[in-house]
Amino acid sequence: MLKVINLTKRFGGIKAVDNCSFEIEERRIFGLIGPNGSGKSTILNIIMNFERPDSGHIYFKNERIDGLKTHQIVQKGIAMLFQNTRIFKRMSVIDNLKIPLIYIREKEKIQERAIELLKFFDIYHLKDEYAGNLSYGQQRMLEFALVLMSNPDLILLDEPVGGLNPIMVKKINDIIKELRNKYGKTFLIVEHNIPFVMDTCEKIMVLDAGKKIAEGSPEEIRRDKRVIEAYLGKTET
Amino acid sequence: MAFSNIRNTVLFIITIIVIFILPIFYRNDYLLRIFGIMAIYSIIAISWDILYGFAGQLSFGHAALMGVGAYTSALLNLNFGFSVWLCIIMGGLLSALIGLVFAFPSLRLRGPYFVISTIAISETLRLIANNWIEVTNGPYGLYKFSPLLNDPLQSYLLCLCVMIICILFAYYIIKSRIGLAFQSIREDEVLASACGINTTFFKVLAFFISAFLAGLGGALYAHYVVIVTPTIMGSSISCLIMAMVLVGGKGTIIGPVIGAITLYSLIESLRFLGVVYNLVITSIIIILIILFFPGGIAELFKTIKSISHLKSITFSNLKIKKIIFTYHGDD
Repeated sequence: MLKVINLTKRFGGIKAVDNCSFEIEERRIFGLIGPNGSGKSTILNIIMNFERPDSGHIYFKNERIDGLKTHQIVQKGIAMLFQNTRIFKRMSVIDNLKIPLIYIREKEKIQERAIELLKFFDIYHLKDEYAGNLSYGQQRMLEFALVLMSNPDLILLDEPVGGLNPIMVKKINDIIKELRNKYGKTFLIVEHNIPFVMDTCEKIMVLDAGKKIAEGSPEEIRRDKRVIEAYLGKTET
Repeated sequence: MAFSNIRNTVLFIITIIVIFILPIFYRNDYLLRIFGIMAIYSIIAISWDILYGFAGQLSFGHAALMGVGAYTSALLNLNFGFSVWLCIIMGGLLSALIGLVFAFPSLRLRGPYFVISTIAISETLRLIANNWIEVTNGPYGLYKFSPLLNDPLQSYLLCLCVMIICILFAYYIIKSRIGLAFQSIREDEVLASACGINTTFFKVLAFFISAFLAGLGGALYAHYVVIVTPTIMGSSISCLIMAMVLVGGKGTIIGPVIGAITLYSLIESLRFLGVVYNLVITSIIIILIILFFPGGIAELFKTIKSISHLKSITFSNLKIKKIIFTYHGDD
């Protein structure tokens, strides 16, 4: 579904992403982990065209998307959940959800979908409240609803459980799995919470200093020496 | 809550209608003139509010757009003898095109950099009006063109009609999907684009609509007062327009109208203090309102309402306490 080929991005003299390639199959939950500054979020930003790559190509459903504008990428079927909660705070919850579908004329259809999602995320009773008045957890739920409103095929999640309590982490884990199993969504998750990634993702790629150092199932990653070294440092023998 | 919002809006609208009807019965030419200018400033303030209050684009050069409309309309009438109405619409359209020039830097610049660019463009336009003497008659301005109508009352009523049409047009835009897109850009441009909004298109559209209304207002102003000078494009007029929106309440349709009425009537009613001191007092009032009520007069009314609501709660609490006390006392 998503193919990233030889992606490179420099910030001044630092190579944030160094010749990175990977592929995500349809209906998969793909994890991207690595120490701080390893280039994980940069890859998401490049996919969404918030950053331009220095070299490399990105294909989505066999169509090249690097170079397209962000709104065009979204219209192709990719959506992103940001690292820091981003919602339209001075707008009502229901108006927030109307934004991704403003190009659609059928008002009833939009309303129906918004209500369905608000009920799914258990924030329907807050639909007329200003989004900024919601609690952090509720804002995160609204953000998920906002991402799903345009019915994307691929969802990029940048630290979806950062700062959330274990109950919310479990809830988000269940939501991701339900969305994949019931609605066939594909996920690319960047996360620091390793137990969450190990539990949620089926395939994991590990980055260190912008370079891909490992890729495989959670079990393979757990046993990979390079991954342990990247996280804990080399042992002197 | 929705009901009280509707009630508030209806109350505001009735108040505004009553204010604008007053001079019709009073039949004083001076008052008619002042209220007519208030109505025109309301249109221009609404146009700036669409740009800043709804789309979040802070432009400091709105008077220039008003001036483009005024000069275009006056020149077309003076040189080609076009009818006043056609001239006014042409003024709005040319201003809308100049609005696109203002929009261009907004696509690349943010914050103070963008603000500076709007000042630069507006100052350039003002200097052209001031120095292109063969066309604009320089600092002396243009004055030999047709007035809106010959009767002051009819002219005033016409201004009122145009103001009402502009309010309805702005309301329609804001309540439509276009309005939602504007607000999403104001709230978070990156998130808006991540939601699939073509932010470039909607920013340009906000400038186009806003500049059209400002140009229309400017052209109406030109034919209402029958004089156009480069002063109309000055930064003081831009500041006045912005102050009207901030004082009335940004991000609302009715706020700019309230702001235009408040500020213009203040400036005029304090004229007995002299043309400097009336502005000083007005400035102090603007600062106080913005300082204590950042949401403008619209917010001031909300606060008064919530205080009275709080009092009623306290009162009912007291009543409850009294009932409990009485109950225990009886016991």
